Amino acid sequence: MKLVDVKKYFPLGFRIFGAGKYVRAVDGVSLDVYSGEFLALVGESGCGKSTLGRIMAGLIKPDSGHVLYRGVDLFKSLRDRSVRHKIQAVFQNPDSSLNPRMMVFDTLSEAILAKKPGLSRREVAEEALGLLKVVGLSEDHLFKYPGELSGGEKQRVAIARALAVEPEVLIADEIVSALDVSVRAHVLNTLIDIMEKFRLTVVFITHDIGLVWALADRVAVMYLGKIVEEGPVEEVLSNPLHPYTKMLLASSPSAKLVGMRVDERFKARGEPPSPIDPPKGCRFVTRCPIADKQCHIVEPKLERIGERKVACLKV
Amino acid sequence: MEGNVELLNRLEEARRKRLLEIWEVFKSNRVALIALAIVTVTVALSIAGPHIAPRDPYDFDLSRARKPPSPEYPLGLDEMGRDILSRLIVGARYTVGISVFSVVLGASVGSLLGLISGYKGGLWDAVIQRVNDILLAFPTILLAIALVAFIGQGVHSLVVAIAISSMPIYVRLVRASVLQVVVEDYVVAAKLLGLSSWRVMLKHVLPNAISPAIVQATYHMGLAILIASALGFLGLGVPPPTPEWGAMIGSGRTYLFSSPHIVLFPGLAIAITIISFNILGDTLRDALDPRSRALLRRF
Amino acid sequence: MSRLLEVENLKVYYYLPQGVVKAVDDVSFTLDKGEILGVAGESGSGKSTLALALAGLIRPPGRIVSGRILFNGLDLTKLSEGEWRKIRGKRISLIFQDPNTYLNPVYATGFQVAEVYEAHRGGRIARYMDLVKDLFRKVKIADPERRVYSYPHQMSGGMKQRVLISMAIAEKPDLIIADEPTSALDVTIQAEIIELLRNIIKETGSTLIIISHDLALLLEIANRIMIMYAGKVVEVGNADEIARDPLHPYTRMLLETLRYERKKRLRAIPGSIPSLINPPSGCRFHPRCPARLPHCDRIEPKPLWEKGRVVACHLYGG
Repeated sequence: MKLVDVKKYFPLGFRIFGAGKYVRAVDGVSLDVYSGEFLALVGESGCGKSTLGRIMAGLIKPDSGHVLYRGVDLFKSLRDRSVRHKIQAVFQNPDSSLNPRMMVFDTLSEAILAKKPGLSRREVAEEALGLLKVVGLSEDHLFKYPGELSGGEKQRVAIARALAVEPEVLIADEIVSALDVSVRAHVLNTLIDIMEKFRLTVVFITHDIGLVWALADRVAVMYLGKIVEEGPVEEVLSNPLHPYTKMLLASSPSAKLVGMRVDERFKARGEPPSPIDPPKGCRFVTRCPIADKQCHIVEPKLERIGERKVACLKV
Repeated sequence: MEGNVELLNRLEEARRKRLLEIWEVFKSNRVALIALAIVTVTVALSIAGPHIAPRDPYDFDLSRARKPPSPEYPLGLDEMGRDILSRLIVGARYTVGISVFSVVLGASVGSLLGLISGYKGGLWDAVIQRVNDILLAFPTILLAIALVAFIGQGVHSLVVAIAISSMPIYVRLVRASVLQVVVEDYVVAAKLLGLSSWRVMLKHVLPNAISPAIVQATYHMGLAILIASALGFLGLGVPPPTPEWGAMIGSGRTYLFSSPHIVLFPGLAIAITIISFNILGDTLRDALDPRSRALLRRF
Repeated sequence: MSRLLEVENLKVYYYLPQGVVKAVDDVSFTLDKGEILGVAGESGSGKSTLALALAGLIRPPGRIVSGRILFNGLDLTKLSEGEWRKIRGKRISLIFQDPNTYLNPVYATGFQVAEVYEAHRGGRIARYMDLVKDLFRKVKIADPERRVYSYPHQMSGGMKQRVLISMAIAEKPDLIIADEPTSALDVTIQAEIIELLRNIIKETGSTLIIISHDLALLLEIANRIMIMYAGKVVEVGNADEIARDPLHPYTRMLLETLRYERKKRLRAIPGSIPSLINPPSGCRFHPRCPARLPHCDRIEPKPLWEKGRVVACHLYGG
């Protein structure tokens, strides 16, 4: 997938003739997603990662910029169901991921039939069973309603539903953040298994750096609607270049335990500015320990440095 | 393949269990059962009324007017000497019929419009909402009067008039509910499957958004009876001597203190019916809500 | 090191229609003045119930069934509500998890903090506003003069949590109990808040009990750590020592789950958290324990001293 200078602003209050305030959720993001990779999109609340995820999934149309899937404009080809099925998503809230009035079987069969409309009831049941097995659930789960399932189970069913249409790309938006810590590992290991088995490309949206270290091939760090650093996980997390990446690592308790580079000079400070009115120049100036006069004036662009890209004037 | 036959059986079983659970909610609640019984009786009367009534509800005889209840006439006679019991029985089809049909009509159309308004948004929403606001601006009874005057008198126009005047509330209610449901992840997932808008609206959004409308509808049925009676009182409702319960109260009110039975019995009938519908609606809402059922199940 | 808190064989049960939930089941530990004790455990471990018990907030259907909580010699389990009101907010205070639910949206934050003073010193709220401004300064809220009049919705998550902290330190309590104080916050804000807490504790000399499911976080900030599982204490000891040499199998496995490795599956503890109504017999952890001995499912291990720590495990003779 190729995103080129994608922007999405959400209007606040009344907008007469385009005037008025906007939340700049995604403010000029260009990103490539390679087939078969596990790409992590990491950032804190308000950075735009969820919005970007939905744009990638074809759910939100960007205000400007292009999203290309295998070279073709995604939003123009979504009417074709086969394209629509290629990109699927699972979201954060397990209580909202399944229709409470439908049995697990109904949820899955709807998805299965969306892909293969001609199947007989028996064949649908067979496939549903297969899907449940893949996500680590048993036959008994077919007959349950979401109200009878735990958070982890609901997320697994959501993943099974996404798999039913044989996607190539799976966008996982904070899929374990709302689950108990003890359940997270189980669900994520399932994700790893199915990624291997079905050769999926996974875009993993998270705020947890530890998970990025453990699972991802590449990582893109977002701040206030922009990507500030991007590259292979080994490089970016053991030798971060952008001050915000360094701050993220210095703040994560798991980072120290695990071998990521923690630079105490970049200890957390300050609060993210408002996405409605970002600061002039580099957006990170308000919290950056090494910002200088230039940083207040010029907005840094993503520049290639070796295997990765960084947007910082001081690098 | 054997396993699969068993699978399909288990599916049927699970669905049956679910329906039974709905029934369980009723069974566990004695008041709800009584309400259900009353509603059933009332509906039965609406259908079979004329065949069950002991006497001719239209047969009047001024010489025996306003006789109080006696073994011969268990509920007494009205101001025109007609048997109140028989009038009540036959009148059920008018009172209940009018209220049920008009509310069902108004609620259905209103809910559908609310669904479209909330789901599609944009121009659809704007247009539907503005038309709705116009309808809402009129007091319900006034609107009903205007519509009856426009369409003409009679039971059918009464039903349509009440339906149209009660519609706006459903548009509002369902739209609000839809706006909440539409952001749930399972609706997004349905869109991701490439399902058509209508499919998503009817299969995923509507069932989860309709609950407040159901409750409102059951309350509304009581209201509809009152509106019908008010119109009848004004001479715009059912033509006399139709034994519509509200009309019976209207014509008997002169004798409220001298022969209270003329007003009392139809009044009781209306009150009991309205209360029963309300209770039924509340219980139905609870029974259909998978979340409250899950709570019950845990005990 | 003077002893501030002694919890002896505390049992807190919830009496529900489905059965009796043994949320805290025979828990004992001590706390010295000036310490930072981290209480770690997954959901269902009983840690939140413990926090409530220490603050006298256990309400029906929950009940303190037996045991003692000695706070500077005073047995907290025997206090009346009136006596508790003099202690809560003044000598023992709490910081909760979600500042959104714990701040009243219709009152200015400064007023809500001032309520602590009003409750313990009487008088009108208005005259404490200067004290509140000082508090806001202490918790590093920018522009405190104005911020005391801000409403919760005008503040960010991190700022709101600072408000809660200011409420907790207002009357300079001996003991502060923080129940998941940063779980609702972004990680960089979390780091700042934890740093703030650390400094405040140092300055005021209060003692802190911090409860979290994030063991990594606790290892950073706490002096001692207490690991709870299914209502029982499993291991207590110095944080660094536990990190280096965990004794209890559960502690060991918990630490393992933190050791993320590049492109490897995540380490998980097999099985799931047991029901507290019907916990496993003998040692509660035995169904999931890789080092299970034959009698672990019959006899409950008693807490013992071992290598300067308290452990409840048959491997060490418990």
